[in-house]
Amino acid sequence: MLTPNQIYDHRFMQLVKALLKMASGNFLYRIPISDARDWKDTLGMLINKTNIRLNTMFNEIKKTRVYTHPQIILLINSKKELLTHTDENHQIISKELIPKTLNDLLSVKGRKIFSKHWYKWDKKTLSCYDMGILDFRGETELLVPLHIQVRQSRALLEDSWYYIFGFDPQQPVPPLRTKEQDTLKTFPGKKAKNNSKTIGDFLLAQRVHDALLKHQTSSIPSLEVIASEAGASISAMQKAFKDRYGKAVLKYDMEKRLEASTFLLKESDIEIKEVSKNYGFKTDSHYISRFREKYGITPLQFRKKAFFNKHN
Amino acid sequence: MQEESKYATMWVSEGILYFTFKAIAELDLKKAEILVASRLKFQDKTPYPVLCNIYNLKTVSEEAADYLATEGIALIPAIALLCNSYYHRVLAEVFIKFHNLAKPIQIFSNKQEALDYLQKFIQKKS
Repeated sequence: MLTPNQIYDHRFMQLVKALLKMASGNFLYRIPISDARDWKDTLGMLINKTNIRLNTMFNEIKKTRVYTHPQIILLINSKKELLTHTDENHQIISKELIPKTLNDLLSVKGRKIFSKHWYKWDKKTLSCYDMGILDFRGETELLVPLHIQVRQSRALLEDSWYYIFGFDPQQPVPPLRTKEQDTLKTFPGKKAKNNSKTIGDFLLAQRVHDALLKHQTSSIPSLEVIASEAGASISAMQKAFKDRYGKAVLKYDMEKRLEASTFLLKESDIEIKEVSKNYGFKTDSHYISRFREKYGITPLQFRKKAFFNKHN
Repeated sequence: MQEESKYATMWVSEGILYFTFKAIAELDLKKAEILVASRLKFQDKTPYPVLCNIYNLKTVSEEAADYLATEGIALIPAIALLCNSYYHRVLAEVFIKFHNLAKPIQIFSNKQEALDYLQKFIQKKS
């Protein structure tokens, strides 16, 4: 049985800190791995990997639409008691006043506007609500105007919790969806009017990409096979993939196979016939003609050129 | 037949390539490229199933992992990863889960079981 001193050591605190950063949406931190490679290192390695993946994913999503980050995020319960907030540097929340409820943070006028909207908001049909600009009480009683959006937590709790996002009123804020939507599902029937990208599309494109990579050294798969592995229709898969990677699925696959084949051309003496077979081409003539289309020279010429460049 | 390179030791025995990493603090892309190039040169166009011992590895960069999962499996019909600690087991599982390898790969803590698995991938000489 580990003693508290053994558990709560410096390395354990590093893990806690990294997880807290992740919970606040900061995926930039990495935990150093020691030579011990014990349970803390294992956890650290998994956290690092998760951070890299999440950071990549959110950076990709951010590229599609540019919105300002919220200045502050608050979490309140149905009684508007403050559960937690992200303002650790006290940029908005005063250090002197320890707020217990949301009303402690709002100006008098802000409280009235918030209450008015709060009771107007039909929480059963709308998961989020835009409250407009409200004044928060900052340090030395200065006012901090923020554009407030409130979102109901989807967690299955006895009491309802709400996220309050406070944005800079001068910057664009993300639009609220008017109806409940599960972003991980695709919608049958009509397409969404605004054609916006969702996390579901992002993950679908990623699955297609992984399926292509998996088949890279076997025969060139059909769209049906790829769609089946990605768990989507051919058209949905093609759209999501093109939106993310900028190219049609089969065109991208061919390019990647040809690029990957240059590795064997440069680093080995394997015959062209074997290289083409290794990358899923049925005949070497097919491989050679596609290669020449992309690079302007044949694989053999490419190999000779690479050899020449290496030794000169 | 044995090869001692900067980052790994390799030898072939009974149709299986044994590959053991040397102590590497972080396996980055450059080291991964050197490893793969030396392995290909050692194999001399002959495919071998690989028994890979990762006990000396500490961390693997994302770029190195991507590279090993794609170019790094050339001339390898199958891989058995030998892990002797929980840390290395998780390292191997993360590698397999996040980098879709196009070849069969499994994790073992027992060397004999790993060798038994690789038997079916040994190329018969014609």
